[in-house]
Amino acid sequence: MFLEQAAPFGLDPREKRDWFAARLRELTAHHRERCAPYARVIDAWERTHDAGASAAVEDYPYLPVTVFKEYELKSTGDAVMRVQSSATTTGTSSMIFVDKATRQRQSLSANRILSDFVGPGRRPYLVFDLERTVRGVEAMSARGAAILSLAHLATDFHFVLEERDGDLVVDEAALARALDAIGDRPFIAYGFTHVLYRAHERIGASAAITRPAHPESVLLHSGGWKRLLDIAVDKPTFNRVVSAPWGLHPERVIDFYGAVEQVGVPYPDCSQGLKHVPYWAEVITRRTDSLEAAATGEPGLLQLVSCLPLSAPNHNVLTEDLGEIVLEDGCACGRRGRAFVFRGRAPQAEARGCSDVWRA
Amino acid sequence: MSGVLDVSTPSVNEASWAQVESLRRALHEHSRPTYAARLAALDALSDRLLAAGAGDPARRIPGVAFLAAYLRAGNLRALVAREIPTPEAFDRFAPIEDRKSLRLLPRGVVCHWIAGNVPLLGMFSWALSALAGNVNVIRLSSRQADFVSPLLALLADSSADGARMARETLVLRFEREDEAAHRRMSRVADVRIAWGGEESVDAIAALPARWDCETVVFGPRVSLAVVDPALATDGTLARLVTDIVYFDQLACSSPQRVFVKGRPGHPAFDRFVDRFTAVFQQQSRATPRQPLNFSETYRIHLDRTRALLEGASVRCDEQTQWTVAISAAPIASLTCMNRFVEIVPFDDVADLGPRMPSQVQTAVTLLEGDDLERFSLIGAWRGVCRFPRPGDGNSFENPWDGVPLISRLTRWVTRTDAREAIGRE
Repeated sequence: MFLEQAAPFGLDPREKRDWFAARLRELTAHHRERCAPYARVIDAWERTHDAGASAAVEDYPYLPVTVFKEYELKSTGDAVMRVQSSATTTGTSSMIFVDKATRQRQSLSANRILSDFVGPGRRPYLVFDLERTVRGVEAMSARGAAILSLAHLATDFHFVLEERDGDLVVDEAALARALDAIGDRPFIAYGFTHVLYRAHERIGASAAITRPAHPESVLLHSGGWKRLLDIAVDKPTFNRVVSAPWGLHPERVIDFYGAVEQVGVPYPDCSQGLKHVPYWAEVITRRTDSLEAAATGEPGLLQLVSCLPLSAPNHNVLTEDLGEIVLEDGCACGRRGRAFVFRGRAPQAEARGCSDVWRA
Repeated sequence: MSGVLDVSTPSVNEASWAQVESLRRALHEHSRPTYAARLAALDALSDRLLAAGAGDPARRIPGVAFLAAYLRAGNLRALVAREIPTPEAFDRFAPIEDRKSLRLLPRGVVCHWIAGNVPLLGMFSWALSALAGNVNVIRLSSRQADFVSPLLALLADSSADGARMARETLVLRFEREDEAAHRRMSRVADVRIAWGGEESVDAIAALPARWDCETVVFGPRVSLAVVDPALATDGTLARLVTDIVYFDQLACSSPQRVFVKGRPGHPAFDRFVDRFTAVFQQQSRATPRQPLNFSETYRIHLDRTRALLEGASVRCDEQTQWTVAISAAPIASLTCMNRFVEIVPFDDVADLGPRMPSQVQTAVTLLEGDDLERFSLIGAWRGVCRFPRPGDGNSFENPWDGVPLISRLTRWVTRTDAREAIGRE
């Protein structure tokens, strides 16, 4: 699926558009043949649209992510694993079926994207989480999947949090052992956004880190900002608090956006604060009120498209997240193609009027 | 005394509540308008609403035509007659039986919490309350446009009695999160009327209130329509669609699902669906819709996808203006709001009972004879409160939600009369 000699963000946008549209057409046909409920969605679309070779990426039907919480959509009879999102506002988690081939594609994809940001070569991996998060069933949680998406960049794992009275706190002994093992080599670190922040608040106030990290070390994080915004922590504050104990430049703290429905395609911030779309994926924003594709600079619901999923039709999904396309090409960071910013989760609609939903 | 008061600052707050107490004292004044005078004032308001020019703020209130029709004296008189033995009781002790007279007194201060996007509904309860002689407090959220003051201005301008009724209505504006203001309003109330969704009405009902305070909750409900295609003329079809389109299905009385007698593949059923879709599309284009937020837009797309995944067929526009899903049985997960209708076939009205949830308020019916008799009985036992004909779905009436409202807005005082009354017979 990946092109020889092409960097993830190296294609000319026109070249990418044609290549990607052809892959999306193939992938849509693949899922249509194998997933009967999905076929109904495509059948309905074809009745009113030209589904031929001229169909643009924006024209293809997209599934709202909520349906993955309600339906077991599968495009394979092979053994599959289920990736489950953390149950957020609804209390129900998404179920995404992943077979071996898809998993390999996800791994390769994540590796290529993240290597473009943190540099080549494997490094020690400091994980701000519990080891059990990547073991057994929990490995299929959103947190487990996010941790494991960086595994290809890792030589060895060091889990440095422990659970105390239901809270995740820094295990100072484990951290000290990890730092001894890492020595003066560059490392990567990862934690959920609010978990990483809380841990570094405590680390900063303690003497747990005794020497500066290698300047090429990178601290990655993902996940919602809501809990931090509630306590008035903005991005500059976050980057400062997390980088300071290590003596790293705040730019070495990288936020990446991802969705459990699109595992394997993380969207890290570049030096310009933008998220870039690799040539094997696409991001579209959809207007409120009409769901038409939004113009550059216009906020909308984020639609995520990728060529990776073979085992479930989660290749083209509409999220409940808001974003804005900033550039179609020419980012100062040197990466080609579309770049966007993530604006957070769309506010849940307040119930309006006195009408209700049907209750069985 | 009418107008919007901002109670966001403590000093204004206190003045607002002092004003409420001043209104309460005015209840005992002898110079207050009679029932007939109030009826005439509301009828005059109806005239003014109908005559108001396009530029008049009152004309821009969504659904104002419904309100104008509702305020006609003949309509209000009929609504009162449904539960009050004699309207004379509003002004004096009026005989209702041998040696028994009745006097209806206003309960006092009636506080209305208005629903977010269908604010007009609150004006229906206000009108009955004012007709019964109460003084009124109407709470608007800070985000709501003040649609009440233009109405009160027209009322005040129509007659001296109208001016008095307008003065006896206080509009308060405060945030949904301002719990202190909500509590205060609840405590001053002799009657609390809450319109809105579950979260809103639960919050209002949980506010502390005096032990003798009446609480009337017009809470979250769903509505449906039941149609025999053989009876669907162009006129009834257009009126049925209007019931659905007019308030974007945000009103509890707007049908969300339409049960149609017959089967897909049968000419009568298919022809009805085609005609319905054409009229639905046409009215959706012609009637401007409230702007949707991201979440509502997402929900429409989600419902369309759910319907397809469940095997329903979906007819819709390229954007999110209108959707008709045709499914074999109701798909419970569909929200069916913002001009999203689910059409479900049925063979016999007896099949509909188990398919209806318990919180149905309105079942618009286009049935006749035995079907109508059997369905309305089945529906009534399932909890349906009203069975209007197409076009009357959103016409507010009394009782509403099964509540005879005048009784809740008045204090019934009885008197046993002296024996001479018998002697006179």
